[in-house]
Amino acid sequence: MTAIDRRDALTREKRSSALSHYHGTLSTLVADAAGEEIPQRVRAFTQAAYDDILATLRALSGIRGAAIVVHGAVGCAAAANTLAEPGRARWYSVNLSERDSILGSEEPLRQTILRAIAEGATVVFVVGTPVVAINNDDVHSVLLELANETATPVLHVNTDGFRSKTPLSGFDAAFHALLQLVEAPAAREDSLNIATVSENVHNLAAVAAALDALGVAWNPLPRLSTLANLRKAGRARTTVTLDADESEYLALGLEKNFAVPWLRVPAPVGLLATRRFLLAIGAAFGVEDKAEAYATASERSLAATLAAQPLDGKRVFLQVDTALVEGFTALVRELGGEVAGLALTGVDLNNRAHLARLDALDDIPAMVAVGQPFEVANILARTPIDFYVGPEQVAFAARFGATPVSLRDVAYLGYAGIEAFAARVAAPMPDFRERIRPLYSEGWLKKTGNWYVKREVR
Amino acid sequence: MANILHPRAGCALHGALATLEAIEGVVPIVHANAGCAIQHALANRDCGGYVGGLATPASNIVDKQVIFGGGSRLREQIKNTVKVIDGQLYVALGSCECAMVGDDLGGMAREAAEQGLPVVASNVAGFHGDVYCGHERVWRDLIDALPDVTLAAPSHAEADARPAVNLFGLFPGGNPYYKGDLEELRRIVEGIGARANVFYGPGGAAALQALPRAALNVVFSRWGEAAAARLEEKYGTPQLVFDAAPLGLEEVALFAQALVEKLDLDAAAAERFVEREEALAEYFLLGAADRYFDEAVGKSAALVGDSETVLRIGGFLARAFGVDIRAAVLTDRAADAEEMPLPALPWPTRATADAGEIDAILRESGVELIFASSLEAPVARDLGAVFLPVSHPVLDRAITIDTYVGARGALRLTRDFLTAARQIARVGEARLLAAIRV
Repeated sequence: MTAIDRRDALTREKRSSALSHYHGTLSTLVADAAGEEIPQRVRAFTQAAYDDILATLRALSGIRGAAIVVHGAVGCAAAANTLAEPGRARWYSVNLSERDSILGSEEPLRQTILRAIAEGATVVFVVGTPVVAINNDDVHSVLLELANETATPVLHVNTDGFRSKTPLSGFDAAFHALLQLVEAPAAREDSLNIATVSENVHNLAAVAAALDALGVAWNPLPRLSTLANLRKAGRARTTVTLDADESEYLALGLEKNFAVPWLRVPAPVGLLATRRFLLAIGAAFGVEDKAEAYATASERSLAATLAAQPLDGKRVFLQVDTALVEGFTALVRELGGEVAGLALTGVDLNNRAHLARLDALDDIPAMVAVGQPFEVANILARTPIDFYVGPEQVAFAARFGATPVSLRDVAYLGYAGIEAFAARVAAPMPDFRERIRPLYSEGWLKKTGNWYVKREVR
Repeated sequence: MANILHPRAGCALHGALATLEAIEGVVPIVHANAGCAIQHALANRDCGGYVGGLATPASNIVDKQVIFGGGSRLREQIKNTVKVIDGQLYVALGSCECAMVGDDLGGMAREAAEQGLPVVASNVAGFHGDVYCGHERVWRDLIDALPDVTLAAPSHAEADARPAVNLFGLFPGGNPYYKGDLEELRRIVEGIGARANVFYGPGGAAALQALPRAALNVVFSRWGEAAAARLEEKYGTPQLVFDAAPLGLEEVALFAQALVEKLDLDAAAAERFVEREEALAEYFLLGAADRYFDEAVGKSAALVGDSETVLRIGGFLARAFGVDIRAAVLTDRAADAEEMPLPALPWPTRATADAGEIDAILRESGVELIFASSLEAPVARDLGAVFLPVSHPVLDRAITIDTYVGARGALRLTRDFLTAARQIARVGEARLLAAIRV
């Protein structure tokens, strides 16, 4: 049975033994993840974390013409204020009440879907939430009935917020639904599927500039896409992912079900990975010469940036997705610094190879977590760190003397990413140490960082 | 409840979270699946609380706890939160899952309290309602629980002979300018001889402690009425209820007069304060009248926001500048419109939080000015109307001490209105010039 033949996507835990909680050193983490199954851990104290619903919402938000129907209470769609993109998917909340949670929510769901279609949706995604999962509401019957009434595709994304410990399962659930929309290819097209979800627009612009230079036509999925883009994804010559942790299910699904090969090349972060990325695409599209010329010219133009060594002698803590950690480690080194600590989103059987290749960093602190700044704070309080690089809400690191670097609005992909990242770490940033309120107790900051991480009892 | 296109704030849990995060010394503990607290952080970025965002303690329950119950996970989370995060009061917040599974939130909080930990609980499942509902519920639960809880590191009240006034009804999640608005109210209350007990902001936990000792509860919106009623019931504290916070000198004077009467304050001193405010306003508004008569007469506007904001800002615009309010959209009253009649506003009024309906109302209104949330900025752009962000959510503006309340808020709104009128005039002039063929 192939991935999309199943009714729902498996969780990352079931599919690839994903580990979401860990605190130790890189070498112990690599050793722990080396077996056929990765032993699971839990945290006895946790802070807010993303769940599979938010990952799904993020994955679907960039599709123009789509409607996202969040089948839950109004708060399950509250993230629209940040995640909804202007001119792209419209977010509807079924807005379930306590009464609906008792009597069932099939009719409100049906009304919401019909409204979305009446308001012009080209495709509707029904996103599951805890209330309907616990209640076991019969979503599929509603969808089956509607299939007879409307030509608009209505797809269920089976998320519930609690089945998986990692939000990455939500990307898989969204892609499982998206794959249902892909048409069987009658012929191949000379285009490249770029799987992109969370990359900011600076990163997308950096990738677009490189692909334009190579003359490769690309089909972004699912961000910036339309129903038409999704339909034709099966015709592409190949697929690359910008963050395989997020998009592997999509790339795998296209490969297994539509014979679109997944070009397994690391994300273009840092000089070496960017060159490899471009040369691999160049080879796939028969434009190796263009790729080589573009890479050489771009590297030459970065000479002054690299010579300036803005991270010279600096110790950097990275909180990034595991698929990006090799690239970021190289980038930090290219700019003169060293990686002195890691916080990774998740380690599983598919991405653990990235860690094994970081062998020179064996004894640095390493944790696996979504968020959990209290543990990062513990490491920063005990380990001298000059720069903390993280996805968002990074200011807390300043309290511990590390300069925060947010990746939210800075490019890090491609050659433009090297330039932009170097400029960001070189930018004058005042010492915010005294301006950040202390939040964590002295007792916690003195404890060992793995205090609340325990082996899971089954 | 009807479906909603693009919810603007979140659910009851999020209202409780927004409320608690704003109180210094209070640490919320969310007992829910992962994602619930982040949804709030992504929805309500303009709230700006103390313990919020990724730092919010949250039990992040998984399927095992949904099936077998999450009580022990909550117990563990409460115990460890107290060890990791410094706080004076910890509030365990329930969620949809917690309510459906039947986790004993109150029992876990009581168990911790029996061990001397300052922990209380509030059941605020998302399906109970919107942020306003959550705000009401968490205040009810705080008022009921606080007498039995000793805060960690209790604050000692400074000797102050002035009567204290609790301020209710303006809160984060409902009002994006709550910080500046409450500071302005504090300035006014203190200017007329009383003392404001403000929960949101520095010294918040101490203000909670002082809650029962206040001489008066002043309520500025429907969403503070339940708390004030509870306090009257428990402690006999009288209340003074307004539909909205005062905006403009006339309203500041009426507010001052009401407070003087209720608290038996020195009327002459209060009058002197109001006179000083008037003199200061006159100084800042020198030349503004000419500007108004040159460019700002006869403007039309629509307002979108919670009832308090719409009433306060719309009322001022109509009184002070004769603005023709052609549409008022109340985003906080859709849920309870059946149970409670809408406030009687002198303008065409609708109650809805649905972005699609609001879009249609604004398009139909044909107004020149739109006072609303950031969600209405695109439709304002489409219509060529000048947009001013006054209600939640405000997504594209960093907010610090900005206020649209009191005397200073009136000056700010006057500045914004006259600037907008100039903008309208410029756009109109440019259009006319472009049409003249020489």
